[in-house]
Amino acid sequence: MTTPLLEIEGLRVEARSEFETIRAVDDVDLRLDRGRVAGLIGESGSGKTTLVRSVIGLHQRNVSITGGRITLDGTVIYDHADGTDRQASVRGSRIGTVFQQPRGSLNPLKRVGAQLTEVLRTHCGDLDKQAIGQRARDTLARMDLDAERVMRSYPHQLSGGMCQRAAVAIAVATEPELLIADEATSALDVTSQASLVELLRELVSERSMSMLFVTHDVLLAAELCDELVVLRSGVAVERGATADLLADPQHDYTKNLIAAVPRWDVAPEEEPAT
Amino acid sequence: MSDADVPTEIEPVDGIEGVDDPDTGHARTTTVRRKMSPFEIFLVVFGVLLVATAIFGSFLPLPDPTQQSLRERLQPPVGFGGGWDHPLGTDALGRDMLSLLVAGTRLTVLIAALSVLVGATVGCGLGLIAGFRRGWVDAVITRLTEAQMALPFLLLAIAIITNRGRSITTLVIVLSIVGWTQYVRIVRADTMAIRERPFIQGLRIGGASDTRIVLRHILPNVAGTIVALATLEVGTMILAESALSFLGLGVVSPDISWGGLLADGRDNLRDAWWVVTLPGLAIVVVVLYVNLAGDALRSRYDLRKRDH
Repeated sequence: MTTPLLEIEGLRVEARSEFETIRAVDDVDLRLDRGRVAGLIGESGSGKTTLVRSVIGLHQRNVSITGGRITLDGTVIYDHADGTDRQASVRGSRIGTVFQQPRGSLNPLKRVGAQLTEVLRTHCGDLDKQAIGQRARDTLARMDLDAERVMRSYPHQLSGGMCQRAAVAIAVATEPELLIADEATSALDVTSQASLVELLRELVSERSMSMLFVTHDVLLAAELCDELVVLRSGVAVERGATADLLADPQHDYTKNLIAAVPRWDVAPEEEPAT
Repeated sequence: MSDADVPTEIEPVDGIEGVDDPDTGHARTTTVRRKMSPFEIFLVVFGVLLVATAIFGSFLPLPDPTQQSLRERLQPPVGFGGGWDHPLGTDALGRDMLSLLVAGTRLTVLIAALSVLVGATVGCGLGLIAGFRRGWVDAVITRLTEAQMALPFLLLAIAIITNRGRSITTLVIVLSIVGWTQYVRIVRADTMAIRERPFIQGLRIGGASDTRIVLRHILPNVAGTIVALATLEVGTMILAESALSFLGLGVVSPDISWGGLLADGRDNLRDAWWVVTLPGLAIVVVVLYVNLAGDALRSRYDLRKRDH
């Protein structure tokens, strides 16, 4: 068996509030091989975002990991038992991240080019100024964007879809091995969404990159992911290859999720009970 | 979303380039630097004149503002019975009002600008630290601010000024102490909101240092608010300086400020309105100007469209 790119074992994350402590992620395992796309699906509040934030080690103040181990390509980057914490050294360089809000992901006061080259300068110190500029333009061009124009633009001068492509460009410019897309397509209209999904799929196969795709949209997950993990209240209730899981869901929650997908070709039935 | 928006097939999407195509005009292409409007040109000209008066006022061919002439005391301005020797009249000591106003510009503008600068620098620095660091650092800075705000301004001013003696430096220190708390509160609130925005998270993921995030990414995003507040504060500072001078705690003769002139004129308010009204008008006009200029600056340089 080959070493998986990302392996999460027994991850537990707790969120404290003034009144109670909630177990946001409860003993979740996840295994992602190189070049594969894993989908993390579940409704709002199921712990999807908390889980992926644990991988990059960026939490809200009141959230902390209380157990488990995270391994990236055979190297332990986090181990609660012995206190290993190397997440800061891998984020950005080996793990790229794209968030939900297209415009919010970019600094509104800086040109896209400046933001892209800033990331490159931080992580690719061996490149000279010209090479960095070239890499930035190449990456934007790969996103099917007019590189010269986007480099010079401020985020508000671009459409939501273009902003999100620029955000993807920033995430993948450093050629990470793992891309985390946290609801990356959720704020876009369907056409932009479809073309972004297509782009992500191409990037994954071109760069033999792996992707952790977080979404509440079962249809999108079905289209993009090789395997799925269904999260509910921080617990992985079901997992498996996408086709198998969708064709034959075992857990009631998964069945409900699939049944909740709106369909335009059949008359609406009674709402499934949740 | 209506059914009409749902594509029946996913494939043709690649063909619908127009959605993101820059050349179709779909994307907004507002030009960042537009031409100046006549009003903005007026504001710039006024600003240049004000600063020029403050700096070069003493070179103007006007009577010496310190020259007293009791025979010419309390002469009214032109049009109210006065002559062209003293177009804006004279004060109780027979000093030329126009010369006094011009000479007062320097100290008034200097004191207001310096105290805003010092207050803003201290306040913004603390506000950024408090908002970004949170935790106990935030608690300490916030409590300090509240403690400062609980102290009555005049009492504090009197305490400091009687202790250190009246001087321009002391005045600037007192006024900065009054001003900094506003910046802390507003910058802290803004910083706390901006640090949670995804692009800051993205920068952290990208490995940017805290100092870099704060100075290069958060500070420019709160700059609009700071400029807005600072312009309001320039007005407050001019008024506070006037108030202190009026109470005899401000600028000492023979130094001249508008607030000082206002204070000097209060004894003659009944029979020589111009001695009080003219410096008062000058203060009103400059405070109004600074507010309008701040507004114009903000709308010109604030790139945010606030649509996210």
